[in-house]
Amino acid sequence: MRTWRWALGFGLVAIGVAGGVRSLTSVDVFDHGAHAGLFVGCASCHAVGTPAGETAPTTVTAVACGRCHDGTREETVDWTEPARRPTNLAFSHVEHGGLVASAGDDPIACAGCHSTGGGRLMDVGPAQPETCIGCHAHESAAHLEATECVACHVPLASATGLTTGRIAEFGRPSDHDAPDFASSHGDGASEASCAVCHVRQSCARCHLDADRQPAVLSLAADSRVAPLLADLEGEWPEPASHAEPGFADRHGADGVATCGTCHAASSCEGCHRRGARAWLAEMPRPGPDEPRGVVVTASGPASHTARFAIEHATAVGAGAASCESCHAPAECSNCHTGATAGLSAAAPAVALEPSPHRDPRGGERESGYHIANFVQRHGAEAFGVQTTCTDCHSTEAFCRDCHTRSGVGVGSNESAGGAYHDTRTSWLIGHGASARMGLEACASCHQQTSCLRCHSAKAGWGVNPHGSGWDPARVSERSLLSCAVCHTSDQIPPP
Amino acid sequence: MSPGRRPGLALGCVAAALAVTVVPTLAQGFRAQFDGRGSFIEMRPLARDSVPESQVPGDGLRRKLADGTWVSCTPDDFCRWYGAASTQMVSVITQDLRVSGWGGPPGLSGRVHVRGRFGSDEFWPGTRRDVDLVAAYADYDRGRIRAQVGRIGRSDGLGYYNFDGATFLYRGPGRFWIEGYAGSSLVTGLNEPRTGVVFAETEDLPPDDRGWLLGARAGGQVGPVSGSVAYQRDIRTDRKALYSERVAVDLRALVGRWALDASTDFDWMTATFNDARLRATVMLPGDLELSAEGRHFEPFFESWTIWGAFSPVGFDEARGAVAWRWAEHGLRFEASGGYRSYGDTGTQLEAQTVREDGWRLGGAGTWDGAGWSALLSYYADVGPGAARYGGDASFGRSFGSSGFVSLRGSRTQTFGELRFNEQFVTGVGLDASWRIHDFSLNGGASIYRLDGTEQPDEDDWTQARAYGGVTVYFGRDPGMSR
Repeated sequence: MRTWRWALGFGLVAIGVAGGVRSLTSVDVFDHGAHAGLFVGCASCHAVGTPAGETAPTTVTAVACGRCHDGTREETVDWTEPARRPTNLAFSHVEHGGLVASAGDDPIACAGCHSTGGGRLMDVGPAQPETCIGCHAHESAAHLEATECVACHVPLASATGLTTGRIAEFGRPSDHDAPDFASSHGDGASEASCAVCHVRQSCARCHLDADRQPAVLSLAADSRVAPLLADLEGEWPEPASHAEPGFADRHGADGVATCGTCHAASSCEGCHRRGARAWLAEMPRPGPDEPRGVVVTASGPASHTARFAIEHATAVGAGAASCESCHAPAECSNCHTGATAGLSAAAPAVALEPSPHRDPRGGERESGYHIANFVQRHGAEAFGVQTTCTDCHSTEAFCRDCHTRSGVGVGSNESAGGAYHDTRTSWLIGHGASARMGLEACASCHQQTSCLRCHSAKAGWGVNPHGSGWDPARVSERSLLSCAVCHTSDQIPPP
Repeated sequence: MSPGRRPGLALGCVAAALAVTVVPTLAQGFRAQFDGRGSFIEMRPLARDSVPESQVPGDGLRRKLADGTWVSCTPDDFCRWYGAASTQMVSVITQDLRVSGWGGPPGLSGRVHVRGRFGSDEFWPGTRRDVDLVAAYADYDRGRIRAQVGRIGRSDGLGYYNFDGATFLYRGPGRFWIEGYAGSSLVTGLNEPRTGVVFAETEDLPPDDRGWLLGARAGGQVGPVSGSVAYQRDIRTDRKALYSERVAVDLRALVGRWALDASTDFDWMTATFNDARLRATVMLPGDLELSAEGRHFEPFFESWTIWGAFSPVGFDEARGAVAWRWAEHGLRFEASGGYRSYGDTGTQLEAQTVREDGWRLGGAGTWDGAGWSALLSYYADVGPGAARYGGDASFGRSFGSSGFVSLRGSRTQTFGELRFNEQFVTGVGLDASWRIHDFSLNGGASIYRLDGTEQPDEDDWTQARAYGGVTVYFGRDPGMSR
């Protein structure tokens, strides 16, 4: 019951409001057709009572009506001049007429613009845009195909009489529907023509950097447009350049000024998340109610292939990927400084090979390069040099230190008596081939002095360690001290 | 605390104090990250043991004890072998503080990275010093120039290295650039000069002089091809000798779906190509990626060691890999393999033949869907010196960017380096991480069972491990704040 009463009450109020609004907005409309044949010219009505020099031949005062509707010849009428329709036309009847006359052209009769084509004097109506372009130099046949709107229209911000509703009725030029319009509309555009329909807020719907674009800043802000944009999403079509091969590796070349049109800083930070980047500070940072732009989710560039974590050396060396754009040098040291926290600290549980961009758990590793339990299975990798251990680890201070502490390696002047390499019965005299194929592995357990006990020119057994390709002149030229270790030094222990 | 730790401690404390006070104070903005991590690992070192040779039955240099342990005997002396020492718990505790500050003139920033190891028991390598100054430098990067001064870490075609000095980079017209740097060289992974305490304690013949690192790089990009040439010389400060002299050339071309890489490192002192690679990778439609690589490798040694004079022999290797992603099902597969062949060692005395080639083969599959993930992998690597076969599996649940929990397991068969040491390692573990705003925790625990089949005296045993860590961020991430 209460619902029914509410509905009735609401309906009555709505009807009342609607009626009131209609009465407030009603204007008298003159029926030109009903008056056909009564006048010899437009000026019979449109020029009466008009102060000279004003643009008001378009208006008709009650005085003009009263010349016939005087209560004697015709009944009186209650005529109220219709309010001047707000417009953004840059047009003045007086000025227009004066310009035509001053140019020596024939004066234009009212019907020249206002005729509706009926042929009679009173077959008239509002002038149509096509009528204007019939005379004026206009690049296109249809009104909304024009590109130089400013020839006839004033900027929207100057057309203060236009309501939001009227602005919403603006037509849409056909070229705005072109597929590439969103990405190319700035090319050669006349800011003045754009300003006929658009204000600063219009551009800010898509241009995240609107507050720093001169073309956008040249437009005025206008609160009437805001309601029209409230529900419109920005449009950010993907430029063709983004699909070009290698774009991810060189996309910064165009600079922030270009990227910032569609991308906010947060979009960059998906990848460029490390360190203080001066250019990053220049990227737009939209407020809570402002467009977010094209959001790029974090991912490595295409050049970071599946095995990039262990194969990135060449890319780093070539400088192709501008590594420091995304990675602070400190990130390199997360892996490249040898021991950090020891075993399994924050490293991914398991992986075939380390791959920081493709951790199946989706996390980004902060430290820990090797797979879990690498310490107990690193022998094969170390011998095979799948990656270069010495890029991160000091053979002497890391590998040998650990091997010695864990009992694998031998200390100074110590010998295991062949107990370690126990698969070789005569290891000592036959170790040459293994040593030359895995000399880094030897050094990871043995001190130099261990080898010098035999391989020394001054002491020991004098076994020559040099291979057939050894170039003593080349080495001695650069480091004679290296030769001295074996050939003249007193540091060599006895065998 | 060893005497050598005190200078490092003092230096580190000063650096840390500067990092947490001066940098944020001077900078208009700063960002800091603290990582505290601790690992607790049961270790059981090996210990050499021996009995008089006369007490071991049999003859020859290689015999077996009654329990099956292989021993190496010296006539009229002893028979020796490796056995198990007592188990001990190793603690590896590190504290990393990274601070970045920026402000003042546009493009100016500074970074400090200090690593502490308070609480570590020095067993684990690299934990001998309480404090490391990993990096500390001022950076000016604006327009065509970039300059850095301080303790700088760099990655280029010569690998990763760091030094105390300065770099200057000039970006020329187009995409060409040139860079020069100079400073006091540091040891890779140690963050200290060759004359530092770590080398002094671990190396019988440590270098007796520091080094000056001088280098230059030039590079650029023409169309899809980018590349650089790097030259570096590390010279003793007394100028009596070079520690190293190297050149690197790196080229990369991204042409359509192809990535072509070519690189080489050349040791000027021994006229050796240390690592030369030629690799082609193609990304085919359907998220299929193929790569093939040819590689030559020979190890590089600095001239203060004798190792380079031993004429190390490298290998040539062919590698291939395929990866395929089935995005709609969250699946990803990859497989890789390689075969390498070593050069002629030129040695005359061979007690037994040694394998002169090696191969590796691996495959993995991952699944990631609706927060769940799984992984299965298998890998085999066989070559002279060592080999392993094994597989891993994990199953986990992630909670957006907040955290994850994951269960993992693995089983690996390994073979010792030219010794009787076949071992199976079977392990299970649990990892978890949780992040709340600028604060995150992670931790895990695992158990590994080690079963040996060759040396009974290296008893089978079960190893326990646990780790935990906390990460806290301070300040604001440049660009992340609104």
